[in-house]
Amino acid sequence: MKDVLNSSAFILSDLLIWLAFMAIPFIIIRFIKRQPEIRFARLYYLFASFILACGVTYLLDALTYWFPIQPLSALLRAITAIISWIAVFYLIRQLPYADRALKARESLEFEVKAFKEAASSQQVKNILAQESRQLFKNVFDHSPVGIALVSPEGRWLNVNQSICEMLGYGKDELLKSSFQAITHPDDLAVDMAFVGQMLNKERETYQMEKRYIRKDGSYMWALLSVSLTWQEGRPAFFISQLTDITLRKSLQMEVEQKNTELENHLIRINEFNRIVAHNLRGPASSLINMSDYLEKSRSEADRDFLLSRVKDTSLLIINTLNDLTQLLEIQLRHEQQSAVCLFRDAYEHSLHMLGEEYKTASPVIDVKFEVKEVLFPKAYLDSIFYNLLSNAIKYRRKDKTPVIFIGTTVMNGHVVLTVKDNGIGIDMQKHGDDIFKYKKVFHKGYHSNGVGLFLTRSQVEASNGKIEVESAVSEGTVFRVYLPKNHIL
Amino acid sequence: MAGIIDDDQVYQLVMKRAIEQSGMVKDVLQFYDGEEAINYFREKQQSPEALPGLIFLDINMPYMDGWQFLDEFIKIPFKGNYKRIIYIVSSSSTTEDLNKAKEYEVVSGYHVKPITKDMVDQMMRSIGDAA
Repeated sequence: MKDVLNSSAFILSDLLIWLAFMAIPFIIIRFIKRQPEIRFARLYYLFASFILACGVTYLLDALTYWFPIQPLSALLRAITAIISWIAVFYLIRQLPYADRALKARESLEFEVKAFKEAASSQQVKNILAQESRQLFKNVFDHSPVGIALVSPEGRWLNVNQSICEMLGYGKDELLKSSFQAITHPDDLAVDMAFVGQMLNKERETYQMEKRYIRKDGSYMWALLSVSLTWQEGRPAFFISQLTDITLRKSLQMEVEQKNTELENHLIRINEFNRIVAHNLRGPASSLINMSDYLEKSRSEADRDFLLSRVKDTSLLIINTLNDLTQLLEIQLRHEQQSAVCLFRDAYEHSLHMLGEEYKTASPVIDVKFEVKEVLFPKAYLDSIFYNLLSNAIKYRRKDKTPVIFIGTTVMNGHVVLTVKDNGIGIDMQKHGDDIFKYKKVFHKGYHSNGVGLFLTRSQVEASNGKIEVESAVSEGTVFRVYLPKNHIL
Repeated sequence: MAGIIDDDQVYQLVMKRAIEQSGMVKDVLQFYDGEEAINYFREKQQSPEALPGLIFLDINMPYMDGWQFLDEFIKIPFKGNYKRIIYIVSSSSTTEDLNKAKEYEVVSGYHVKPITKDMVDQMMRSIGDAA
């Protein structure tokens, strides 16, 4: 009985183990079938066969209790052993692949993660780009600074409202034009030089003060800042920013002009001081010394001489005072209103005034007025012509026919009056600084009074002009008078 | 010997008489502009006995003024040890002229016209001090 119980427990256990061994391969195969794609499929099948074979050995063990099938059981065990070993070998051979697959999976997962991150950051970027576009648009549209995109050739690609308001052009009008077309001609060369340097990558930005021409023809001073955007190695467009500095500029120029005027006033006051110190105090001191000496001296000859000098000395004082009055009248610009003067008239007037002097000298005068007229105080122009021509004739060489050139031309925005002679000339080394000073004379025996050129300079300077001289002894003298060029011409 | 360089004839006469009255010098040389004076000094640079020890120099003169005279005068290579005292006597009392005079070492003093007896006496004494 005990044997039967033992045998039954054996048989039952064997059958249960067999069933379990049978179940596992089915579960494995079912799993494989469900996968859309499976690696190492053969391994799974081998595994299933191995388990199935093991299970069958338990079934045969159970059956041997009832049937004598030991030889069959032995055969099946052998098959099971073979399948097991095949599975073992196959497993060993597949191990490296499994390792690689595992690693591949890891890296794949990493890539996926990076891709996801990249995707989300691109999204952020897109949002930022959109926002910065919006920001730029806001700045562009509402900035008080004029902003423009300009092609490398200079065409306006886009302009904001501020530029249009500054220049008085509509946006459409500007976009048909170029910056060159509305730049002040005097400022274009500098601007173009900067543009060239930018295109040559010699500089990344530039700033300059320049003038634009508004639609109404007036000039606008702007502070211009420019940068250049490159795309794929080619210049794409300039970003130009313009600030209207017209008011600042005009104030600045006004201040500079007032400064120059003040400096000139100081120079004139200094000159006035010098004339008083030497040319008025001199003869006045003489009169004092004279009267002192006349009281004391018993020498008849001395007394007669001094008395004869009283009148001359007094005349000298009154003449100097007259000159000073004239100088002040010129400098205060009293009485003299500018008028359109013909150079020809001034020339003929001066010849008339020279009268006998002109006839005696009988000079050859070459007259060439390229500019016919000027806006200037008429009396001053007559006086300038008279003084310069009178000097050219007075200081002639005795051994030569006096040849005089007198002409006008335009130079650097000035009307230039030139009077050139072939006279005795002035030693510039000695007298260069004194030519236009009061009562400075350079030649003995010519009865020079040293007033003509002094007043001429004052008249020229009072009208914002200037006078220059060039001279060489025995060769002659050239005077150039730069008169302001008036817009009426 | 004294020298007066001035274009003012009245000053020339009054100064000459004042110098004579002082009895300090025998002769008075008179030049009526800087050019005339500088020509004399150039000519006599080898003859110390013909050179004045005391010079009264005006600033404002035609052809060559006092400053130009001084610029040329200091360039002349006088023979021996030529002792001279130079006074500027000018009608100008401007700071510009007073300062400019200080730039010339050769100038001993500056007097503003009109001249007075005290002024002349003081200048004449300096020649005695130097001697």
